[in-house]
Amino acid sequence: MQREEARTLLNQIFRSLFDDESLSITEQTTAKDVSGWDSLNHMNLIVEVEKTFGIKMTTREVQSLKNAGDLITIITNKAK
Amino acid sequence: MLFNSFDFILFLGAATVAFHYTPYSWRKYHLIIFSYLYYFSWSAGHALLLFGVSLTAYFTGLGVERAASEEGKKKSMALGVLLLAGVLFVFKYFNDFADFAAPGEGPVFYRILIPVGISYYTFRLISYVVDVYWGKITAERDLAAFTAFAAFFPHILSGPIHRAETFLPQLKKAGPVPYLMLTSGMRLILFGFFKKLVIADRLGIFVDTIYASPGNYNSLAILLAAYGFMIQLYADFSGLTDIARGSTRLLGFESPKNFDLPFYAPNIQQYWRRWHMSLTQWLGDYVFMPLRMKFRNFGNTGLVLAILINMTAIGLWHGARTTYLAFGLLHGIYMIGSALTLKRRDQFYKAHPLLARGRTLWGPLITFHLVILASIFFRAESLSGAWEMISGIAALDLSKAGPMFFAKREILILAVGGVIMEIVHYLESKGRIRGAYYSQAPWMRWAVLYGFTFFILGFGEFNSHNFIYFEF
Repeated sequence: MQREEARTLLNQIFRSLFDDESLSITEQTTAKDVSGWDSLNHMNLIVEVEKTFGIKMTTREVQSLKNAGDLITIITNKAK
Repeated sequence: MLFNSFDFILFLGAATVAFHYTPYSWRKYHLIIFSYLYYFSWSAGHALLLFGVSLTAYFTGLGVERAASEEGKKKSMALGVLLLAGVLFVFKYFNDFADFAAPGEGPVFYRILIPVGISYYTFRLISYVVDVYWGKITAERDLAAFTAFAAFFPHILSGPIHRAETFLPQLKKAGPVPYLMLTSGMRLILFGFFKKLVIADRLGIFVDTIYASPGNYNSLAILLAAYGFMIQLYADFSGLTDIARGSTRLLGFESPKNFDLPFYAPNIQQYWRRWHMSLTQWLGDYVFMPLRMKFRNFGNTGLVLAILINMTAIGLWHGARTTYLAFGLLHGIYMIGSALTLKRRDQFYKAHPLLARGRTLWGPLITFHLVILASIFFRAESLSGAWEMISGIAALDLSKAGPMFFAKREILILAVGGVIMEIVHYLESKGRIRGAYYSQAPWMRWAVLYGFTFFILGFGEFNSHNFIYFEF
């Protein structure tokens, strides 16, 4: 999967999860930039990502995420 | 040697001067010597335990990194964590289990002395091992640096829980301690003593009297004691943290924050992000997050379970007592209620902008009172004691003795001290404390320092009270 394709799909997940149609995710987006993206909601995001892209992530991978770009890297590496 | 003792001030002074004259590459040895000297002042036997667990964490870190397979890494990490958690569990909870197994006094040999700071240093070392496994940091090879990290004396008693990720790079940085760091460290220590001696220990006299026999007092007095304890705890623990962070700065280290205006938090999740931050972040990373991962496909049930386990752990971390369990469970229930409804509440206030303005007022007010309710369980000696406090407030009975046994002078000192404390906290939180201080003329800055010093000497409570969080 291409990064841009993953980013577009990820953006849709963000918009519906955080209830904000104007959200636009970049590689550098962090939890600070998205209102509602806290530790409680983080896992809902992971679950949605796993379902949408048909992948499984490990605790280690989730812990190492620093921004949306890291998430896109994992997605593109794992998704077919 | 407690932080609020004259001995500690002398010790810290000696450590700071010696640090100044130590060649940069020897600083780790300086920290090992002074940290172990400090720990010896508590117990030589427990110093051996501290050294033993540091070695365990050190070699586990290397083992995790050297293991060839994913499975091997995981096994090494799990073994290390199990050993460290096992030490904490045995030493911290042994007495509670002995009491449980043989109620009453029990033979003397049952009781063991809990090693000071064990809850903090084992947590610090567990996070190190797990971080190496997660690949967040590489395993430390320098045994001396690692030993200094594990025993670092300003943090050994009651945190903050400083992780290897940010501590070790600071230890390896050469160069003199900046002058501004020395002066800001001393100011932070002064402010810590102010909170401890002027506010916490004075308020403690009032709180202790009422918590000891709530049945003798009217509803107003009991309510004020409930508020009072939370403010006492805040001044006490944040004072202790300031002394620890200030001492750390004298040695050229910056340590993590523990408090950020917790009583103005708009909801309970925010409260826990601002209260004892280094502990809640620790539990968030190493308990809550892995549990959330495990339960992630169970929707809200998974969330509820992860919160309940996490908050129960926060409660029982303080000790194996039913009151701490009730405290943790109550916060767990608050958190679940808040987390499950937050999205809907946000939508509601979005649709009602007029009410949204009110929310900024009653959000913090409700949160604060939920915190107060839970703190009654935290402070009370037993569940029935907590119940006596709560029913005493709910009775709305003003016929018994009121709060005015506490002299007007004491109340005035507390009010003035409390306002000063919160102004400083506000400026600190907004990152404006340095600017506000240095924009003053030199005579004004000296006046502030002398003012704090005289306030402490004139109005401090010097009957040596222990720090509340020292017991954990």
